[in-house]
Amino acid sequence: MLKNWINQLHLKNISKLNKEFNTNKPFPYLELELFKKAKIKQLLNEVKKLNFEEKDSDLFYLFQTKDFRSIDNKLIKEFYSLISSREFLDLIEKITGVKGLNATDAASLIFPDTGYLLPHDDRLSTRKIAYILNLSNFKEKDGGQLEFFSTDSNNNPIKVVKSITPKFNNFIIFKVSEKSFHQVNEVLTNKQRITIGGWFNEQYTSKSY
Amino acid sequence: MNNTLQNLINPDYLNNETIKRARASFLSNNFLPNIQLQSFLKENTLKSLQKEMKLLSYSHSYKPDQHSYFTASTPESFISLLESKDFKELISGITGIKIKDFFCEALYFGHKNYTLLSDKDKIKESTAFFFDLNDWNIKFGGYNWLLNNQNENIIYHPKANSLLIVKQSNKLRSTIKYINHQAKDDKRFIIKGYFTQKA
Repeated sequence: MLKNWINQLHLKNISKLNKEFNTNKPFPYLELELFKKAKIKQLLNEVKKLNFEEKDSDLFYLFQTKDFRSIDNKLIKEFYSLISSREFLDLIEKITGVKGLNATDAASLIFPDTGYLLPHDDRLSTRKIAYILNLSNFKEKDGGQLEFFSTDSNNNPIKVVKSITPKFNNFIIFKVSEKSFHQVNEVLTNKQRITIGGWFNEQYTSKSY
Repeated sequence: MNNTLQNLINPDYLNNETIKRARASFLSNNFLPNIQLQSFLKENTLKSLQKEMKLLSYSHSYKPDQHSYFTASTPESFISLLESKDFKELISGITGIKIKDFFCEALYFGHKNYTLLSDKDKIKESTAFFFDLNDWNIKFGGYNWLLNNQNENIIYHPKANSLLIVKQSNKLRSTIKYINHQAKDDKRFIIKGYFTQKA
């Protein structure tokens, strides 16, 4: 199934990706166009048909689907099967050097105008690697950047040191740890920031944000 | 009541019947003990305090996973009010708590400012207060959001010249919602603090 979805080029450069992931600052992360653009365009069309529920708390304002494992849509099932397959998890393990991945959480999020996600570290017992697949193209003025914080010696977040503007088909993975503080900047225009995101876990968890 | 308090606050709040009603309202809510006293200061007192608040020297207090806002020392005129014996008696009369001391700071919240309900917080039993200097459109966020440990919550609409009093504990917490870009350059000016109680 991998060859239908993945840019084969990346399968030939795994050691380079592993080095990049583990040397990136402020904590291990990587961004790459892992998937074939044509497949992700089809996936976006299906995502747009899903039901999104409004989520509002002190930490965020956004819209979210159910977990993909419970969504009855052929292409979304295929995508979920891919990212939860042993073959794909092996690839993520090779890229990150993090072993023991065996369950995937996945949902789609929409950040509308004024949508945001404030700083947090994503830590929950089973989460090992977080991922975000961008399905929107933003300009800097649109906001919606995924931002990473530096931390002090006590692992308190200090300031934003890496900012990633949403770009269609950009796939971002980062290691979940006491240092992995990140946020999603508020969306500042009437564009929708659409993503698929979740975690690769040691074991399955139904917890989301 | 002495002249100082009579000169500063709405005379309605010096009336025993009003205090009794306010106390009943505060105590009637077992899950979220709180009350918002509207039109609290006299008009001229409010106007001069609003001017003072805008002239203060604010600094950015930023702990990304906890809060972002601007803070300054509270104007002396408001401190004097809080220090007065009659004011403490008024608050005691409403809350049923014997006030021992207080802590407060002047704050403003603009675009991108917020407070979070952090797991790191260990909130002591206290009676918190929020005095609002200006009206505020809650479409911008920036409102007080009170939550208890049974997932009950109340959103408070900030209103100029209102004093919100909340009995705060690990079971009841208050947060200020992130302010979005629709606020443009608008700012919510408040004096925030808490009273400690006599043992």
